[in-house]
Amino acid sequence: MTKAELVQKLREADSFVVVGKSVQRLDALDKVLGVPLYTSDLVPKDALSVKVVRSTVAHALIKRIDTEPAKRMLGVSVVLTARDIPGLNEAFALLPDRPLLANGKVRCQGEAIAIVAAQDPQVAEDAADRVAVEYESLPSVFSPVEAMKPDSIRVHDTGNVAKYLKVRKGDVKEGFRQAEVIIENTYKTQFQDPVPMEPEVGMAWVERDGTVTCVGSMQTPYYVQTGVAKVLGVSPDKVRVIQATTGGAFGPKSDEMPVDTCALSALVAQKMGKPAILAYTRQESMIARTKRHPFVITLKTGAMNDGRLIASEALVVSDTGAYASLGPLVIIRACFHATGPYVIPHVKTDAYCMYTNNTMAGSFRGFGSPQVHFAAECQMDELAKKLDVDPLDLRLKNMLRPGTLTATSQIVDDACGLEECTKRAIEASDWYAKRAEFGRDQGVFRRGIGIALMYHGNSLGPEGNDYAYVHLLVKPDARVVLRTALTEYGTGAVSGLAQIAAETLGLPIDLFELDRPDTASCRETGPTVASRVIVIGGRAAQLAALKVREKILNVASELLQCDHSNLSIKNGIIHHPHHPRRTITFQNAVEECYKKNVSLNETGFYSAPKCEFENENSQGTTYLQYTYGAVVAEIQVDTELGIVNPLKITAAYDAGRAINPLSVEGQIEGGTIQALGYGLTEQLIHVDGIVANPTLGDYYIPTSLDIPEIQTIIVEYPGAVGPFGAKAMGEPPVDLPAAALANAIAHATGSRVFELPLTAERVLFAAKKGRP
Amino acid sequence: MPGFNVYVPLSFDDALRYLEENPTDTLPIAGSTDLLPRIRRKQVSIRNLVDLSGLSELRYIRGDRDKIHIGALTTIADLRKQTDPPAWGRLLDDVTAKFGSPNIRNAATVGGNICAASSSEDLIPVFLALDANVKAIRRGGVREMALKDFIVSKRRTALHPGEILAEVSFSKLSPRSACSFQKLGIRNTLIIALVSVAAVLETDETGSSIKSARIALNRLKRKIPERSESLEKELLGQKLNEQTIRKAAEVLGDELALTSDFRASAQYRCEAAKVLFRRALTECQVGIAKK
Amino acid sequence: MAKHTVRLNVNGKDHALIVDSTDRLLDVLRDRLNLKGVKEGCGTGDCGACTVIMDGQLVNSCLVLAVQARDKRITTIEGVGTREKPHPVQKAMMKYNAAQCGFCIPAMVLAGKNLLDHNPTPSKQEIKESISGVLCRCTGYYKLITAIQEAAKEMVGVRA
Repeated sequence: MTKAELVQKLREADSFVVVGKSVQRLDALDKVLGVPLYTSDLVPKDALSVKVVRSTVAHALIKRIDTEPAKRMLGVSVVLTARDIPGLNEAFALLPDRPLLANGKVRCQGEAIAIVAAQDPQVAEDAADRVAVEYESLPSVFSPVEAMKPDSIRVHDTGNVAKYLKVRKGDVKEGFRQAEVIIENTYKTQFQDPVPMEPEVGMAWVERDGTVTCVGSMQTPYYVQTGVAKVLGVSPDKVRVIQATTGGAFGPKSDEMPVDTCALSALVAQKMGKPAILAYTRQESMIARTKRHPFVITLKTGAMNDGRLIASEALVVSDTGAYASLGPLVIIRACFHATGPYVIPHVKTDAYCMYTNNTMAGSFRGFGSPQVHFAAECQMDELAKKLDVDPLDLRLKNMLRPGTLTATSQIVDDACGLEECTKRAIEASDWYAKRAEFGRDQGVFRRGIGIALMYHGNSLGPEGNDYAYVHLLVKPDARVVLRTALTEYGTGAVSGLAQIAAETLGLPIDLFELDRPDTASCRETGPTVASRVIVIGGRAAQLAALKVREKILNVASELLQCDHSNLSIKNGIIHHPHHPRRTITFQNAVEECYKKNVSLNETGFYSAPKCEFENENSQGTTYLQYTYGAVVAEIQVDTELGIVNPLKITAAYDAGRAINPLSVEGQIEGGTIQALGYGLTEQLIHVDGIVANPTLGDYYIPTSLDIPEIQTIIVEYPGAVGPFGAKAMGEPPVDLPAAALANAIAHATGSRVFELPLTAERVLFAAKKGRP
Repeated sequence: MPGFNVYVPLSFDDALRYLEENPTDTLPIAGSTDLLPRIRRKQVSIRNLVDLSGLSELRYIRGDRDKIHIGALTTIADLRKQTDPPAWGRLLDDVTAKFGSPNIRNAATVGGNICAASSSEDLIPVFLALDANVKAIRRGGVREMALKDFIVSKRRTALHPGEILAEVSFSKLSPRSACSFQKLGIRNTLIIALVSVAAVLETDETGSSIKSARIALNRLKRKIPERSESLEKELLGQKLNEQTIRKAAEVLGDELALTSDFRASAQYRCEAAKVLFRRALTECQVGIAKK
Repeated sequence: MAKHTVRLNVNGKDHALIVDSTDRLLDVLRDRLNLKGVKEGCGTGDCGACTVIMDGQLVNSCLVLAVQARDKRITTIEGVGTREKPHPVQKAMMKYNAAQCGFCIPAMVLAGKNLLDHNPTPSKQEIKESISGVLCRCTGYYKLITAIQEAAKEMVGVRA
């Protein structure tokens, strides 16, 4: 059997031993004992603390930086500015628009201008306060829509458009001409801070041989390696990067932030010959690091009286702040998904990623999808209202099904669980009954129920080369070490890779161990983002496992004296096909391999097929597989105060194949609550470009007392690409809850809030307009 | 952490002696939940802190015939465990339930909350509505004054150098009283109030009209917790019914320090204050009816 | 700046330490006693990652000065359960894969343990309240709550 045939056979097995089982994560025991060491737990005693002098204004020329008062302070080791960078003063994820340390100009609050290092962190902080920066204020632009005007203030010399792209399908003019009903609305979303419980931190030291080692809280060690090497002016092989246990990431730790912390530490380490650590305070983190892009979305939708969607015209504008980060990729995903998961013959979407003088926006779980689904799903309900039909029925009529075309004219394949997700969510939430019952509520407290549907293109799609390396090493004691530069930061996905390898190898999961991501021992594997650990990494893990399996079975076939193609491994035992009692254990085979010098150190490499689509109008296959979902939200509104009390969320997702159902549930639950915050209470507010609430005392994420009842439903329509059909489940759970909540609130109050978050104030003032 | 010196007193007297000898640039610290973050953020720069947290003589809740006396080092968690409802009605339960988080409640003290003197401190409107007095002690003297005189302006109290706030006291509520505390925040716990209202009503023998009303909000014209004299005047002698409550709520609008900030607009705060006031009084009404 | 000799009991062991006035309990636990399980998530008492049990109560150790912890009994995560015999709260958290990134977990375990030490049969609401001072961004709290519920049942069963 060829590898491909083996993979297919494994995928189509009647039952699985390890995959699809809610096994305990490999790091579970360590974590509940408080054992894992995060970056700040690893600091050597002689390490210098690095503090950053940051811009206090939104847009200005830097006339002068006076570091003398800081340098003179007792205990200060060194003060560095852009001039002291030996390599390139660059730290950008995609577009070459961002320096590591400001060079003559700052474009947003919080931009790094200088760094101070001292043995005592308080001394470093006090010294940083003493660095005097003289600014010459420049006029600023804080609205992405303003930034689009031809006479707008320019954030960068190249203009304010970081990225523009469009979707053209059919002929919208014709579509709107045919349409019997047309509605048009503008929706707005806000900056959301990811609030990982561990703020950003990176540490560096110089080894005896002059190479630099960086340890940090991060998602992508190789980006940090490249970034740090560039700043130091050395080749990447002179920089080693290790991911320490990372306390939450959600996207922002995959781009500029870890490069900043590690490169700035490395500069100090190199200058001073001592280890250096840069740990952001929470406040610094909330100002300086990347957040979710705010969007302004204008949607014009045309339909027939019978509910068929005919045309969609969308203007999608994101605010990427002063530096693009991955804004140009976020806008691509947003652009492609802007219509929501519906069949629409005529589509025109224009999407702009705009620079402003707000703080940076970048990667954040969902990556444009939560924003456009908020708009698209609110729009569906508004359309249902105009047509006087049930919003569910409108969706059932128009949803994507196998054989239909997406907005980018991709044919939806059979792995489309959208309808089943919808039906299961409706049933579990008792939709029709509640819709009627809640609609009869009188008095101050009114309940509402709302629904939202989504589709989420898996992995990188058009965003880049989609590949992964996973290494397996079988030790002499037959324990299997899984090593990869794909990182764990909460999702449990890397444990999932071990499950996949275990299933493929026919071994029990408890033989597996994980090693930490280290550029010295793991191949470059692309970023850990877009939920690609399982989908792409899983394929690589499987291929590595198949290589190990082949070696093992070759040796076993000699020991058992039979053809190796008839052998199989089940639960660590290798069975002879014709003589069931003649078995050897996996351990036996491993020992034999070691005796015979057969290497059991294998690397699996998987590269996803490239997405074929035509760039000009974005028509074609934009993603290789899609996750689908339906979320129903039930809420109660206090119509005198506008307070929304979420009662229950029913979340149904087509996960393709849940490698670990318990971990998938964990992602759904966690993503739902993160999106609950996005929908109701979280907003990082800029006032003239200055963040007004960069503290957890003034930026409100849900606590244990804010959570509704939740019901998670996993549906499985195996995807074309993922191992065993697995689909991305890390990001999709944040796409819909805000939209479902908005629809539920509109149901309860009769009036809609078109902006996130759905604060009590907004709900109250909208409700006052809506109530009879 | 920016530098300061901590003095650990051997006794309450010793603490008073230290404060007398170091009148400027010295602050008492107990639960530290308000002061430490402010020192760390360099909002406050202080040379000496006197740690009162070990002075158990200031941690008590005592009732005598007419009054309740609460030592300044009583924690919010201590208050929560109190089981003498008639003295305070349900105010105790309401205010401590929504105060910070369990972790904060275990550390934060009554004295610390009052001396912080800002609209973020939930206990202040409650004690104002209870018409509380405070006792300030220094070496060689005790002063007692009304809480409303003790809170001078935002983050300023009437404490003299060398004085420690030692006790809060108030008269037990009469049997014909009812009370309520309402707090509006952006989520269910660990929040600073956008608006809060504390109400204590006493009715006549029939229970139908208002003999006295004490209404405090976390933020009125002076931008600190205060009693609303005009509201109280409006309610005096009126029948305790929905009409009275609605009419009084309209008076409230003029009293409020209406500021818009990034958390909420002035208009919303005004609306919310009226609603909370109405609910507080309605709860009182229900409380009276039950008796 | 005054220094203080502070005696405190941490995880059953007595210590006598000389601390600075400005040292927080958090700093002393992490840097002097090498108990890295106590985490700093915000430094302002808003997130609870630094939670320890002090004289039977949950407190944010970032808000307790080391000198204020004199003569107190402190329990950190290192004092709860072992590899061979995890505490029922820890066992249940493992069973439900309740630990995701793990940063809040030491605080959550302590909150769960402290609750069950005082209230062996808590309601779901009481469990939610007990952990309401600790923020978690990964889990949505559900499996943490389920784990504490199950641990309660197990502990009551054992006692019975």
